[in-house]
Amino acid sequence: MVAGPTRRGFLHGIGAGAIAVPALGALAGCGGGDDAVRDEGARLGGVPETVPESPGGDADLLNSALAAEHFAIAAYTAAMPLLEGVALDTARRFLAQERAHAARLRELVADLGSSAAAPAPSYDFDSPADAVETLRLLLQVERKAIVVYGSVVPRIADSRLRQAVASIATTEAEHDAVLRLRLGRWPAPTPFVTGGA
Amino acid sequence: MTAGAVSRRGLLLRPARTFAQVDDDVRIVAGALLLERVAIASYDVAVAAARAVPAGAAERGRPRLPELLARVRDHEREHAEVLASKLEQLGGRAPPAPRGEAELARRRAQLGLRAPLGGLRTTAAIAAFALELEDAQLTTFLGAVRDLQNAALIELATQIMGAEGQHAVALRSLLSDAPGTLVPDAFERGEAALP
Repeated sequence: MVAGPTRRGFLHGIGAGAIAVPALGALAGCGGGDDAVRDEGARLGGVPETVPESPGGDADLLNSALAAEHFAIAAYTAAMPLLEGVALDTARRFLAQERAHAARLRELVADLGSSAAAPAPSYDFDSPADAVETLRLLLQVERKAIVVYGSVVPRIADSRLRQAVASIATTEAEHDAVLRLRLGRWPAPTPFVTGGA
Repeated sequence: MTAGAVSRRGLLLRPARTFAQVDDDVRIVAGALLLERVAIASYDVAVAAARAVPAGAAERGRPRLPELLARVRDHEREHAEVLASKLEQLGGRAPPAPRGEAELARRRAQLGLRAPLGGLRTTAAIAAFALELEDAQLTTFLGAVRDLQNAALIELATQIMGAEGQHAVALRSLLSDAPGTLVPDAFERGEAALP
């Protein structure tokens, strides 16, 4: 668990002036649950010891990642009208980066001779009441994406594809960190990023 | 198709790992562990230097520097612990941690880390020093994800890369709060220019 003085100092340091979202101060007394430093290194099971060799399998895996990107694009698009200031700037930038990820994944799927997954006709999101709830929702979306990438990357057989997708996965972890900063939390709460609760 | 059939098909399609592949994994994990140990020792130096940096105007609205660096160093320690355990399981030998600043400086030079151990007198200098470490780790683990054969190790490397990316965000936040500085590229390769 984060030491009290450390966490308080950080929350104080972030300051409302740096973040254009309402009710930030109310976060100081909550949200500590997922800020705890946990040893997530034990969560390394559940994947085969050898990477399966299957070009068709790689396309399916890339499409799983693409579906997560479509979901994130829809979430950021829906979130933007609810944000302002630096939070809006952040969402705008991350939306552009999610679109870049999706475009790259579509290219990689096409290079394998397969069809890229299309976005769903619609996505259901909770209805956030304010900017803070919107940022929390976006944080959940990023964490879902990290879970998907954490499952996909070790199963990709082609080493170059694996590296390209891991580069995207790391950027999602960075989005997670920035959203935490915007919510007044520590940006890097765990030594092993799994996207878990 | 039954689960048994899938399993059998999987066995037929997956070639057994060769000794050469295991040796490659040992080499990659040992290299990553060496870098983690150099990072830990480097963060020890940075934490000590940060305690002497007065919290000036530039640091208002930012995480407290020594605490942030100590926390990142503690993550690196956890990475090193798990990597050392994995290396032992693979039958490899862990590289020793650098002892003393002279050996640390030599190891850093061998790894291509250019930031000098002296001269860490400002938040900006310390952030640049630490970001060089994080970028080196991101590059190393990105290469590991590509080259490792063992899927569990690939998963571990991906999880560590995520943490190094988050460390980079925390360190960049010392310099600027702009979204374009915090996540400068849609594809993290450990090559971001300093803000």
